Amino acid sequence: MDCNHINTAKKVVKIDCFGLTFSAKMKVCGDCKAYLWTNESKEKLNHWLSEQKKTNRDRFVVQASLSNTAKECLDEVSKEYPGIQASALIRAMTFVFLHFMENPDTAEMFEMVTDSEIYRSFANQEKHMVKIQFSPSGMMDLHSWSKIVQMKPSKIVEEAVYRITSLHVESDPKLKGFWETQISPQISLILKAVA
Amino acid sequence: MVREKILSRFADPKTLFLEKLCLAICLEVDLWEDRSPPNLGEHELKNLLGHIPVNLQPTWSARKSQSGKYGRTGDDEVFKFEFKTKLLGFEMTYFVKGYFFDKGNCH
Repeated sequence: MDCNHINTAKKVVKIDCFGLTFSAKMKVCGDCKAYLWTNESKEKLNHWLSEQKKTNRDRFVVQASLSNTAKECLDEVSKEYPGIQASALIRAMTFVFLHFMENPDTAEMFEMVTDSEIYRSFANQEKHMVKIQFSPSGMMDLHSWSKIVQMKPSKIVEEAVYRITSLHVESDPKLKGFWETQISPQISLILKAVA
Repeated sequence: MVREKILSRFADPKTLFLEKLCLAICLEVDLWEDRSPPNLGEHELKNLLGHIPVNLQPTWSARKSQSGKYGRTGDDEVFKFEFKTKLLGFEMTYFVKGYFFDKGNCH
């Protein structure tokens, strides 16, 4: 149905947000039940998320499971960023991964790396659980990509680590160049910003 | 970029549709979410802007609804377009429909 939202009324809408319930008075379509996000309701959501971060911190945590090899690779990558905790590095990798996913050319680079032996080695191994804390905006971005690619947020974090650590050891000149000129500097920048 | 400058870009016939769309999204977006069938939201649209072909030509049709903040003052025509992209190995097709909030300058 291609609804034109002609029959609308203001109602209180309850929206699930990382397992929490955000409610606001919004315009609702009586025919298709869609609700209208406006600048006003978006501001309310952002304010509400900031408050939730103070009281429900656990809702802004993503629990990912990384394979033994990925963990070892992550330790190797972290040598380039002395004094940085693994969780901060994983978070930075996730942001960088999502940032480059916005561009089809760089998204394609992350596709190419899946042919590598190291990437394939990450599957079917004993896994280690890691917990990563995100900011409200970081969490929003992660959940947004989760909807786009229809993957759980935790799976996206895992893919970010797997693909970026694979790039780190790539010998293919194009992928190696991508790591050296774009990925590594971006990770450094994020880590410096939060240090 | 100030609003007046953005509006002058809208008025320029050489400005590509995608550029107009990106500029409009920077100004203000009102988006219906959880339609039937379910749709993606504004955050998703922004994340996918880079995947829309630069020379995209949308189709245009008369707007039927006048409800909403810009229902009476917005453009009289609705744009619609589809684009395909590949993400994490999966080919996806997206459909986008909307109208600009400033009447007359949009195409």
